Amino acid sequence: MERNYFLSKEFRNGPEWNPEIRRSENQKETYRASYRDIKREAETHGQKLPILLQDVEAAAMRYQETILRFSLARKGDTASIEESDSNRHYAHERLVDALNILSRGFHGAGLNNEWRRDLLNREAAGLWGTTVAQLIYRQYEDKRG
Amino acid sequence: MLLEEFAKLCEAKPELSALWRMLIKTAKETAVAELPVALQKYHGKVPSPDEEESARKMRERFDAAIQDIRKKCEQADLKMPELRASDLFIF
Repeated sequence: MERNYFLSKEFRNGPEWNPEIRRSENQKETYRASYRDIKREAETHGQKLPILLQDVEAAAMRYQETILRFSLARKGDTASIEESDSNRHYAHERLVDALNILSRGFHGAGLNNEWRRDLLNREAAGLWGTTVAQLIYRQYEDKRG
Repeated sequence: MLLEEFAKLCEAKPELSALWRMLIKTAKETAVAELPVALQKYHGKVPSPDEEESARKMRERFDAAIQDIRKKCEQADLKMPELRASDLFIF
């Protein structure tokens, strides 16, 4: 039977869990630049692409939220860990779907959608999403002072 | 001082480690409450009063957790970097 690491004592009693901590500052900056390019392109080409980009942003924020909920549930009961892990997986799938739809939108509008190739790896798509979520959240924190 | 250095220092000092862990937990809970509000505002929409209230309450707890660790740092003559929830929730 396959062992679920997230239910193990090592995981529950180990150091704080967060996959984002593996990101280097260079990687984050690359993802931030990629997002800004996509946003600029989307907002200067018609009305449909900005809406598709908003879906991506919403999916990225939701994915970030599920990561945080999973991290907070780490020391909870088995059901909480399993539920938050499942929500995290679902949110990641939703993010990948939203990126695919936006990429097709770019292609349909005759725009370069090479950025999607850089995010084909599931981990890369997730880390791109959390970088975008952090950027949006930081902007909110900066504005509220 | 860089945030990463400060984090290591807090984890190593017995008088700071519990406060640091509480701050990280509160930062995550604050982000969970504020992310939906941040998204609505980013898209030029108005968050619901319930979302705003939930975010406000968590922000108060986060600010209190910052104050707790700031006091300890001042007692230890330790310079604390700027601490934002968006930086802390990755720990």
